[in-house]
Amino acid sequence: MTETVQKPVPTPSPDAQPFYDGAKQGQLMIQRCNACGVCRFVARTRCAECGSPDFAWVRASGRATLISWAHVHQKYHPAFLAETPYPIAMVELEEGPRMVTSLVQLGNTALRAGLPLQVVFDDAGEWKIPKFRPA
Amino acid sequence: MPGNGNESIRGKCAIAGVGITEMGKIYDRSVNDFATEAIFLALDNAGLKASDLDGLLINSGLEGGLSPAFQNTLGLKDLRLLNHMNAFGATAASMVQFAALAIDAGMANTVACVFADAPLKPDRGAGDAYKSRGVASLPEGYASLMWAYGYFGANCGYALAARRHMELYGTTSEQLGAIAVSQRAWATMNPRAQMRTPITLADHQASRYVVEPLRLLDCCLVSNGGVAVIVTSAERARDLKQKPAYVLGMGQGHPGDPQQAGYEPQVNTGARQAGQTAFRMAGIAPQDIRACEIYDCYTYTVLVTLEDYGFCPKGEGGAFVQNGKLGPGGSLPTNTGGGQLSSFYMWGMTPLSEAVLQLQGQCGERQIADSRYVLVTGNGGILSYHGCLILGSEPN
Repeated sequence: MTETVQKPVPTPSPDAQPFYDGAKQGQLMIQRCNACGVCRFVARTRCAECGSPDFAWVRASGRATLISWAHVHQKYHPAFLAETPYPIAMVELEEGPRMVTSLVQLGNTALRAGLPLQVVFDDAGEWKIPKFRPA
Repeated sequence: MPGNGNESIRGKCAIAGVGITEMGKIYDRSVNDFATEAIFLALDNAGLKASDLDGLLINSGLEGGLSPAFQNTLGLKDLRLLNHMNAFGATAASMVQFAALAIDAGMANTVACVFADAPLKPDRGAGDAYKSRGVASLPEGYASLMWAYGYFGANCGYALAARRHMELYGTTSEQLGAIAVSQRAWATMNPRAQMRTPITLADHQASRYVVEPLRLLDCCLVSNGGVAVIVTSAERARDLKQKPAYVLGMGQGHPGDPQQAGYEPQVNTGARQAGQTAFRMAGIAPQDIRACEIYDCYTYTVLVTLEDYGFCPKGEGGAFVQNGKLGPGGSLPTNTGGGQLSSFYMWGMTPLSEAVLQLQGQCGERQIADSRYVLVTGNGGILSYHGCLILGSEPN
């Protein structure tokens, strides 16, 4: 009998529900301040730039650049063992926000800050989560 | 003027005693036990009794277990100052700051500041103990997203920070390794240090990756134990058993991380803001500092902190550290007990306790010749929270 260990799955908070609902549809949803126009991620109830509580959820283009990356060698979780070492990354979305994520479909791509990336969506339990591949 | 360091408190207070318990893989003692022993060791070091305390500031570590009710464990009566504080690794410096402010304001006269933790268990290694650290303070639900990506704890956050510095400034793993080597050289002279076997740069380069670019020898230890210090007025400290460690400057800096284009809090840390406040208060400049006790959860933390205090320009930390400057015999003795990388990991109490021991002249063969001005720093989160002290051998 084989037992497959599942990777941790996201547990959406009410604040971030539109992000997860969007991801299920293949859309990267972020917040944009209706007062000053600055986009943000993680979900917040007020704009970090101008303090306004007035915002809308908008679909990001999915284009991003690589800010930083690291390869996890430590065996933290059994579900990741098969792909260890695996990459994690910080990327900057075209709209401004930075997110921690992971990288996929790297092939022989040489990683460097500024590398153009494109969002893709991967299964995570009942949800999907945005990851990035070289553009 | 708000935001400016105020010289009026410079030299008004001092650290009069320090207590350090046994450290490391000690599984049969509770956090309360470690904290209690640390305080009584510090009182004894200062030449004080528990009944002399009228203030108590408490910082629980990862394991928790301490609260304001710890007063009752100690049997302390009629305290005039009591709090449980937490800004993670910045807390030790912050507790001394609050103690000094309260003493200067007449709210208390003799304040014990204590940290104790026991995250190591017989069946749980250092990696597991700190797996969730660094995500615990994230917004609701967000930590679970990080785990879904395989981002587990502080090692991942600091690896991303170090890589960013490497990409922006060309910093190398060998330069990070130079910090580990210098600190281990100090640790060989510290009987309390958990790691006392000398290492070379080749050893550092051969050590396994934890989260690349960080190797095992870039990462701090995890320890069970407790540390306490006693803060009192400079006047009183002069009449006690040890040479006072005068508090000459204090500062904090918390950059926040809105994850927004242009913000780089992992390469431009709160140390810059904290240092500006503390140096102004102390009336000195970085070149006056004779030794540094820098929070060193990772080698990278030391490098970026030295840059942000102005010991070298931003981006030049790699070149600054690589020629033994920080080690024994170097021009800027740094982490003279071995630091968190090689001695023991008690959050901000590791650098603070070593600074106090140096100022007391109790460091044996690793004793620095000149402790006129010693910089002590604390850092919490992923370079999120920062506090510092400038301690000195004279009250001015």
